[in-house]
Amino acid sequence: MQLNLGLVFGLCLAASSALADPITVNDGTHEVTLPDTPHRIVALEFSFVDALASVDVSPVGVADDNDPARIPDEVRDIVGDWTSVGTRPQPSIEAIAALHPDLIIADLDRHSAVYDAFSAIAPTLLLPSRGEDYEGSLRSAALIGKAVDKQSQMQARLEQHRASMADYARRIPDGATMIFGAAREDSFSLHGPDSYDGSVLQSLGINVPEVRAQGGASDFVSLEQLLGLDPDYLLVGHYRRPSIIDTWNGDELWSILKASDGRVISVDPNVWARNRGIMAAEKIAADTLAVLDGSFEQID
Amino acid sequence: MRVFWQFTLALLIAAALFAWSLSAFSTFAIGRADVLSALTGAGDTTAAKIVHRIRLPRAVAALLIGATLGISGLLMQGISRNRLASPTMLGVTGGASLGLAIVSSGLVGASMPGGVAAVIGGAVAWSLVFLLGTAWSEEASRGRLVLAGMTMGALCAGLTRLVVLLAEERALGVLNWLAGSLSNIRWTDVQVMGVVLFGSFVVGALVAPSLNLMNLGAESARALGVRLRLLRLSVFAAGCVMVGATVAVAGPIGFIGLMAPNISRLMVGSDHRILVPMSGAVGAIALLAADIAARGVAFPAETPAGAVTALIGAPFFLILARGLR
Repeated sequence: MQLNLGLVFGLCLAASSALADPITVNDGTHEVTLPDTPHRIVALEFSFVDALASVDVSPVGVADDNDPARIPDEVRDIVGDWTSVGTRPQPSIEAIAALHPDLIIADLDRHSAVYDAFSAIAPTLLLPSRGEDYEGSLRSAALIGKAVDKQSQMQARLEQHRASMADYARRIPDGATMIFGAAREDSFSLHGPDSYDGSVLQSLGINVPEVRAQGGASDFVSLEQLLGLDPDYLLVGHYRRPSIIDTWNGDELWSILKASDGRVISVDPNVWARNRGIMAAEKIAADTLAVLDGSFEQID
Repeated sequence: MRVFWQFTLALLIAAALFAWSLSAFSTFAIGRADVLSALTGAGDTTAAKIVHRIRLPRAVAALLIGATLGISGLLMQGISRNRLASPTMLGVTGGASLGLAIVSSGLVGASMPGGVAAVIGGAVAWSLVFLLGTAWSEEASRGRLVLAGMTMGALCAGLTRLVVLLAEERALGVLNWLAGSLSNIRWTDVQVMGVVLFGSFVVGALVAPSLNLMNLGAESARALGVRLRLLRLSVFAAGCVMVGATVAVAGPIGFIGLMAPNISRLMVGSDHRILVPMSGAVGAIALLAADIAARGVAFPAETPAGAVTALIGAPFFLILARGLR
């Protein structure tokens, strides 16, 4: 018996020395302890995939809205294939459990209510993504770097990111007003300065007009209010064509808009609205610079 | 004579609200001169153009849609002999929204104009409610019909949410539309609603005498020469078109069809020949007022007028339901 105990003790000692130290991350609402470096990660928002890709980590499962093309090529090239676990608002708990994850990264806004179900499957980080601004998304990325035990690599990537954004900001002339809006066939919602893309634009020295005081990340507007804001550049992500912008374009009032002389630019809604994160911000910055120097190729 | 003054009063209120809605809550300074030149179509200032192209059709549409909803609610209450009946309470609005959501989400291969889908959806929901609520039987209780209608409304709302979730890409846009909004009305919408409202008045005028006899009970009305089946069928068909058109143009706007006929009844009594135009007038005023309020709530961002009508309508329904007990 004593021999057996000694054997077990010895084995344990051997095992523990082979394992890395546990990782503890505080996501702001919970203290999450990971017994080991996670290798089977499920990401339930696009910005989390962006953060993982930034440190060369591939998630096994992603809530990709059943359409992997919504995640930019740059990110997909790094992380490769994953298993879809459904849509971001309604991920499948069964599909997540079937992947036997050792870390789930969920969105504070969308998934707080199902946190317990997730954490019964695997340690779960609840990080802000939807409705979060630029700086907030970088904070989330830093925490993800810590959780996957690549803290120093993430810090280096973030520093590189800040340098490259500062470079963009230097090349982008100050003072232009620009705003992005998502257009569907019957509604147009503008992303103000507190939105993700709005705060990225502001960090680049672009003026993003405020739709209303204490407004949310996005606000529905009518043509009249858009005319009232009258930005120098109007960037439009068309979720469906013909969108409401195409309808407004045919109206004689449209010509009142300053931007109507060729500065209403259609951009990729996947980059500007759905994705947030390190690479998304860099793409937004590159798009912005191209729009301002006239080299931007509009998407249909 | 009293009725004459009541209509005059309604007209004055509508005119005042109409004028206010043309200049209220704008980021542009819209002056009286802009409004006047816009009305004649001659203005070439930005403000005048905005009034003419955006605010005028919106205000006219609010009046037309409100009037249509008011009359549709009156007709529904008339044939079901139930003051709680209305497009929303009978599930017609919910069915129309579901029909429109299914078609516009692109989930089904079938492509048809949104208005047609809304009319079909409303007709299916209404038929089911009347079957479940045994609305045609004399002994049917008020509660049963309303219960069936609310159940159908909840079912349709659930299915609509499912459609929205399945078509996640456009969820936000559909959700905005599902709250009932007048923010993107065009002149073509106004033309459609003008035709629909004209038809509503015609149907209303034709069925009003029969609905007066229905006040005595369905059997008595039949004995007095009312062709019940024809009456029910024509109100059913007209109601589906009326509600379907409003849903297709502005999304589901609740409670106007419930409130307008009941307020009108308090004002002018129970003669449907007077109730038809009065319900139209009250509905028109109610929706225009709700739309102005909806623009003011989070100015300058848009909020849906349907949210405002629900805010006022829900307590109204509770008071009415208690009063009828």
